[in-house]
Amino acid sequence: MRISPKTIREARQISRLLPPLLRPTRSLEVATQELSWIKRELPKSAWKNAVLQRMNHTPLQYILGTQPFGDMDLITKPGVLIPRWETEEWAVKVLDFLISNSANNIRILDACTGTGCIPLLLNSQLQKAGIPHTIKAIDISPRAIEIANENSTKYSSTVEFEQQNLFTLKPEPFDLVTSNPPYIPMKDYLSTEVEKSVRRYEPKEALIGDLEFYTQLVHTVDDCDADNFIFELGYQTQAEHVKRLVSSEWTVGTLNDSAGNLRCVIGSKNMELNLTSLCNTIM
Amino acid sequence: MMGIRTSGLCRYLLRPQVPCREYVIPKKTKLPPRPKWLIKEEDIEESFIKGGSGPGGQKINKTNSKVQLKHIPTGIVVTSQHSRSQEQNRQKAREILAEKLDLMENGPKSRVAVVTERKVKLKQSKQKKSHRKYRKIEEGRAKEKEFEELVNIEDEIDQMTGRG
Repeated sequence: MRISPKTIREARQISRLLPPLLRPTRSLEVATQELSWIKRELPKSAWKNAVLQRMNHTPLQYILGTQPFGDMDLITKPGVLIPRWETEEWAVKVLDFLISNSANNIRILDACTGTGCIPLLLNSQLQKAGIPHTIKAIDISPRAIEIANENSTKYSSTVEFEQQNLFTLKPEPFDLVTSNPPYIPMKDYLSTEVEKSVRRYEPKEALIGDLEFYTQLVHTVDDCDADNFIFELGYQTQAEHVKRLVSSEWTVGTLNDSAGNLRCVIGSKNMELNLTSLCNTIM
Repeated sequence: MMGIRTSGLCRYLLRPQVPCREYVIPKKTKLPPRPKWLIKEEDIEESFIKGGSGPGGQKINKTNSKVQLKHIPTGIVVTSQHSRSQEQNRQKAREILAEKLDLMENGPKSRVAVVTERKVKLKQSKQKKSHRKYRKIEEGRAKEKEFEELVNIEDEIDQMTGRG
């Protein structure tokens, strides 16, 4: 939809830095907010350049260098997927579940970790709650691991980050496997459903993928002898695929995000610590 | 009717006898505490307004996170979108809601009311001080003028009576 000349005039009256921000944000409200964050977080000399970059759809989180996740402010740079609010939402749910069930000594594996958002949130909050645990996180991208390690240092975490290919990972024992793998099929990646800033600036290898990742994740769960898993996804077919692959001892269900979209598939074969209690629908 | 009148009269007679009561500025260190205890999570309906419908997830990169709270018993709705952090917006929204509930429950004794009162009074006292200063200057000038006039009149009288 085109932005009306009236809105552009209105924006110009507020600040000359505002009209360029209408292009990526599409609304005066969000543009005003983004400008206030740019002004708050960057020195005055960098404002103009920041606005010009943003006008060309560079993600705001690459310009400002961070993205909030829980109570953390994670470092985000080109080459790593920016954590999404949907991920934050389910990660907090998993966290609350682990704390309320006092999942002592739980061993967690996070695959396709990116910035390390999921394991770092779990680690810092479980530590605060006094629940002993171990977390390992892997990503195929050396750049992602580099940034994850920066974040790990920033929050002095005890997460072990390792550059590893999920498809050739050597099995180790874990209790819970979490992952936000690339789940946009190529055909949809090229459609207008994917925001310009995402397609132009975020790493393809963190975005494009489909059933092959879920097949491998289920294998990994089996190889690691885990009894709980949660994977983020975008399509019902991906959830059905997981349900089809696991053996009958597993309970499998799906979880929606608060915008009402299908967001996760959860599986469990542990009667005491059953993560599928978070599900909206059991399959 | 009588009852109400009497009680009104009683209140009038028993009114605090401090003459300049309304000019006492509340001390900054003695403000009522932030009314956090008024927030009961079970009374709140929390929603995250993401603006527009769509696939979300990896396909969209939202920068804002607006939090809306509805207080079920009173129907008060508040929102917060000041920060990029949803966590901070959730806290801020709770603070705003707590202030509103406090104002409803405690009226002029609530923290918001006392804080606003303090602000208004500080401003008033500042104005008063400046008024006082200028009034003094004016008065000084007026007195001088009066004195001059008096001297002039005395001179005139002296001339008229042929003395001097």
